[in-house]
Amino acid sequence: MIDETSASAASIDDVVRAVPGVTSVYPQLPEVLGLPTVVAGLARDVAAHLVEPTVRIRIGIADADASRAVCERVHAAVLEYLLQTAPVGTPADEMPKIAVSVVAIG
Amino acid sequence: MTDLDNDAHDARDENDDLDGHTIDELSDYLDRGRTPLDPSIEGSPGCRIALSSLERLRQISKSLVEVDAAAEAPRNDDWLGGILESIGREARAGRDIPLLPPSPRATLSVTEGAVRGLIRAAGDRSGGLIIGRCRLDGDVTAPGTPITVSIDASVFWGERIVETVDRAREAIYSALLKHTELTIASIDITVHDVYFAQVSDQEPDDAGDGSASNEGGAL
Repeated sequence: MIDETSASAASIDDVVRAVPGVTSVYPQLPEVLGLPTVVAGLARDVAAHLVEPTVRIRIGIADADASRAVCERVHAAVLEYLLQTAPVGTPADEMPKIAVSVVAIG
Repeated sequence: MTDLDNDAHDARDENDDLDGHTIDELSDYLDRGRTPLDPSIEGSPGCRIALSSLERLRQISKSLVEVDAAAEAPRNDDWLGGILESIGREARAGRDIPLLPPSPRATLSVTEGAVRGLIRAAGDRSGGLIIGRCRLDGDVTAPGTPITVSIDASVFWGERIVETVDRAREAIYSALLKHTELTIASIDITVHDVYFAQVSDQEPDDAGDGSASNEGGAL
């Protein structure tokens, strides 16, 4: 399931949305603030230089599955996607960190 | 952090974590049937948590209004206002509560706001009471730290308080076990109000615990 999802997904958000148990994917701060895409991209680039590159994902989940189970599914799906889209031969420890946060339940 | 600090922090963050919106705005948005769709509200987890709480509260308060009308008793709007205030304050994201990560290069967490929303939903759905204020006492960011869940609630007239509170406590504990890895030391539920909420052919049980905390609005 993860393979199918990752193979056809256009973005990380698409990958996350397709994970069972995920009901919403929330934008990160620049989008919340309504900044233009270009500015949001710059903000993210600056942040990436200041701290270790991290893919931060904020999700809403259904109450049916435990938060941890959904988070692990999201982590696995995103890691799979990153590995598929990274240049061939990229070592695993050079992949960005993945932070999954459940911000709403039910 | 003292209670005073907490209150100050709550007040400061109340609107920040509704991403610039207020409970009144969210209430109006619900009145309009969530149309036209407002991306700044729908895209905000804090707003979504608050909207869920408001929808549940509306279902309950609708029956209260009907019952109040039938009983011709005055309604205490302070009671509802207090709950609305808590919903707005507690929808904020708050602290990150960690979950054990599957690898060193991953971090998994649940926000405090999501957990407070979960507690509120579990308590409300257990029946017979409405959750007012909810607080997680202890360092939720440090795994293994004993956490006390402190809750203020209103119980409906005719409900046996001890049984109702026990039922809510069990529902909340189950929800916390399912969604978090917190070490729950206790779930303390304080009943502040008893509210007339159900029309019954039977007289309320005089021997019930309700009389002990009979300080609610429309009794």
